[in-house]
Amino acid sequence: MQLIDVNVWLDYPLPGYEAEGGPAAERLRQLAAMGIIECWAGSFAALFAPDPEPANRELIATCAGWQRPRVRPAVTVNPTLPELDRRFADLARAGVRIVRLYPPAHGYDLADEPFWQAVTLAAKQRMVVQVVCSVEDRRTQPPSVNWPLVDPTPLKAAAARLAAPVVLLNCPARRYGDLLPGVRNVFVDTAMQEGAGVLARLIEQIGATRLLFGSYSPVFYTASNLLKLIESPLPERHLRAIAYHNARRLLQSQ
Amino acid sequence: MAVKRFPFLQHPVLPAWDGHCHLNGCPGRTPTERMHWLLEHAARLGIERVIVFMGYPFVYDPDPAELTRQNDQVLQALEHWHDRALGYCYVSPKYPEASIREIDRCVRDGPMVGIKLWVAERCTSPGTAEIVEHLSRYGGVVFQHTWLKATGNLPGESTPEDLAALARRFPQVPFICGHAGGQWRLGLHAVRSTANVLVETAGADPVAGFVERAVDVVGEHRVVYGSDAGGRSFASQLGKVYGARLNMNQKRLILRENLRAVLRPILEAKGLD
Ligand SMILES: [Zn+2]
Repeated sequence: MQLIDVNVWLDYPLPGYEAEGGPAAERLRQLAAMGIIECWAGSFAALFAPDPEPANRELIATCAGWQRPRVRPAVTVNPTLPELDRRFADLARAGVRIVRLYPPAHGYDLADEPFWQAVTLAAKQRMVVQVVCSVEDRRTQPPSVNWPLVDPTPLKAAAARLAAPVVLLNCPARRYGDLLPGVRNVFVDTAMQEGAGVLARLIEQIGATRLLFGSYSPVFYTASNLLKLIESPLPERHLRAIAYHNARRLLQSQ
Repeated sequence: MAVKRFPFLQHPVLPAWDGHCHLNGCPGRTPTERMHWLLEHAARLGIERVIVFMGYPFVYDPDPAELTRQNDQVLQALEHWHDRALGYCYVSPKYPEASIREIDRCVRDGPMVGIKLWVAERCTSPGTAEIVEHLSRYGGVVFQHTWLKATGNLPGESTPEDLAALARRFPQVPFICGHAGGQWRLGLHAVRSTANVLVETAGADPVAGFVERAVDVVGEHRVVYGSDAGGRSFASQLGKVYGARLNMNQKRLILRENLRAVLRPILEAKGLD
């Protein structure tokens, strides 16, 4: 079975974390050996830079060199910076389809206008928006990146404005009860979903079309999320949806 | 016989014992139903045996009656599954006398193979020593939940350092440092020089590097796999070991052999090995 991994980071480490898994090229080859034919890859350097553009350009160039797996750049956008229109237009010209937002790093939340501007511009440029909801459980985060969990509930109040698909990465979805089934255009990845048999239980709660395979590699062991696909007894159609089709459809729908 | 491999991962399935499971967080009307559900999911990932402790719902500071009620739930859950499930007896340092009665009932006269100490009181308390002293007559392991929360511990929550201090007083008793302190970069070092403490991999995010670092710091014979299922995914926690850059022998030790070795005396005594 082929997989698309929507939550990969190319450069590493995060401040306060050790570099694991070797250089990016080695890690990407390992992902390919596990059946991952495509990954959506971000850059921590871009996330932490005062202006993400130089690191984004480097990310786009690196991704272009990969076929097995295919690597799509998930470029960092800081919507509090000036010239947001121009930035999105440049990214679109470079062929970018995925933007990655990290609200606590850039000082806004999902109720704030910068986020909605980013969603509107992403929709205009036929892009998917990813929101990184957390780096790690706050109880174990090193002080260097001890950020709060992004609260996704404002998406519900402004559901009509969700013009682009929004994928919540590293979001413990079971905490947000009815958010996902209730709001169109919101998706989550598997990376931080917890509980025995978690995928089957989550599908009961939010349906199989909202869930995308994400490993959060190399911060997390990739094996952890691959094994979730085995832990729950899932019908083949649900497994394929999570592993591949939902991500494919997101890009096609835009 | 061909080696069974996990799909996707392309890794051989290794025999595992999960040293940290709960009935809490599993669906089911009765302990028996919850246990059945838990074991079904464990089996999908090659987990042969689980150790369960505490009943449901979770109670931070149980009184003696609650300890008995929760231990009864575990005893009921174990009833049909002695070949696939083991139990630890839930005790509280706040009630050493009642805890000793529970040890007599569940470990000495019952099927349980150790005790679980949670967050009622830190394990540096006199009550804990009294309880451990009593358990040591029958063998079995002491499982102590430990955390060093970046957000601050509960008042009764033990740190790995607390556990190391306790374990040094009972060098013949095997102790398990649950969660390796959560912040494992710190927790591992706190128990490093206390040889009768094993570190456990359960119940935190599967941040890469943890298991390799554990082996570096305390050695491959002192690391044991656990998940904290049903609250945690078996998969997310098992992936820490399968995903680690360790050799097959080291993974076998962590997944089963290390825990089996410390439990062997009591399992043999009870005819459970
Ligand atoms: Zn637990």
